Amino acid sequence: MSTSSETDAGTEQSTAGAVAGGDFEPRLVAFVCNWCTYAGADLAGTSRLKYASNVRVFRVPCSGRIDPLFLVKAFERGADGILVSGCHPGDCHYAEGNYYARRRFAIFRELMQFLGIEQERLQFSWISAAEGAKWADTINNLTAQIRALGPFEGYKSLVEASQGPT
Amino acid sequence: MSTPQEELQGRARQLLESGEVALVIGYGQGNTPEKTTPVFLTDAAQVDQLVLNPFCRNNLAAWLTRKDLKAKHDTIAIVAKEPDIRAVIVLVQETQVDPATVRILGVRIDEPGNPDSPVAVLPQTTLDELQQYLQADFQPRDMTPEQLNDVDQFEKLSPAERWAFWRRQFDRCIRCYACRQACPMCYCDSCIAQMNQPQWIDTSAHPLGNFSWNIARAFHLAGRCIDCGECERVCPVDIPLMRLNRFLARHIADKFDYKAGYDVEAYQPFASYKCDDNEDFIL
Repeated sequence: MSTSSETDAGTEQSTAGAVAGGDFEPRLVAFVCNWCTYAGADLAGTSRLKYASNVRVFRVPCSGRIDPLFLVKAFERGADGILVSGCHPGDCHYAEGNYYARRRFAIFRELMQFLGIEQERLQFSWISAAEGAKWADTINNLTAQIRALGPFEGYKSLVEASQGPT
Repeated sequence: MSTPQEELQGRARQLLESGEVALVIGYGQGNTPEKTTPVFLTDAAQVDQLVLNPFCRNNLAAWLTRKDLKAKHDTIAIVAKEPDIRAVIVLVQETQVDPATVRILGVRIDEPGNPDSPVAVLPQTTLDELQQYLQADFQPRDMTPEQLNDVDQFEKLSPAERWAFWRRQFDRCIRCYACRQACPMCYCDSCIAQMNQPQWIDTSAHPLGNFSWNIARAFHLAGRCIDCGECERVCPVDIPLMRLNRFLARHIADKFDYKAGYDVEAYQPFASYKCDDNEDFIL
């Protein structure tokens, strides 16, 4: 998978907070819950907040629905950074899904770091439906951090090594 | 005085003769002196096939979830070392095994693989008693300083070094799934590694599929691994799988104060939560 030839509509636009001179646009994936973070992102939009367009949002019913393999698959398909976000504790639409998610990802995050994946590439947040500004900030920060870190060469090299003869 | 092996055979004979169990799964002599192989005994006359020596390595608890065996035999007894007893406890906890249908012939091998290691048959017979025995022994048999050190030292490497290390290890994986087959905790009828709609894990033995497989295997055992070390022992390409398992076990212990295989009543860490679980990592 080559890096420079790959562009798409989302990353061609100029991005808030872009580092001058660097032409690397991170591809970010956000797994968000339907009830809080997705609504928060919606609020950011309706409030006309400007934030980095590097993120692709996947809406799931609840942060408790997110299987760690979703995140592995996102890395496989070229994500440079991932955000997992749900309701604040106590706010879960399903009462306790985010508590289970919190335990799962507390450990999964450690496993990914143990394997050598930089901790910046996999981040977690609680963003409520009222926190449009927090969503915009979180995405801007994540984008800036991943831009500084560069493309996820580790996983890209796995993909390259796994392609058959063309 | 009878040897531990004779004592074990006597207990197995009693179980089969009285009809308390229909099947005894134990260790039989393998094709070389330092090998043993599982034997399946249905008749008291067969119990002299049972051996007990430091080379009894397999975790026989892995057989307890086999549907073919369950369908044929109402009650099954297994010869179980300490980790294997922990495996039975987790299987009961996960309602995979009905404790009423299982008898445990508990044994102890102080130094597995060392021909001079003492071996013994445990006096405890019920799961309850065996659980108490394990709990009494809990601290010292947890993780050895060397095992902890192995994980700690590895964590001190840089992310790039750690990545390079696992890349080298997982690249060798041939996807034989011996780790899964040997593991008593891997009992799913259809494993995620074989699902193809959608295909979460590439089935080819290439670096990408190997990474996903090994991540999934390790994570599915988080909070469940009972530290028998069979996955690592059976791995034909010597991937240090226990380093991953012990790393996860250490985090589970630190964060949730839990260790797998010591309490049938306990809730597993990922099947429970506390409102005040640590969330320092969440923005």
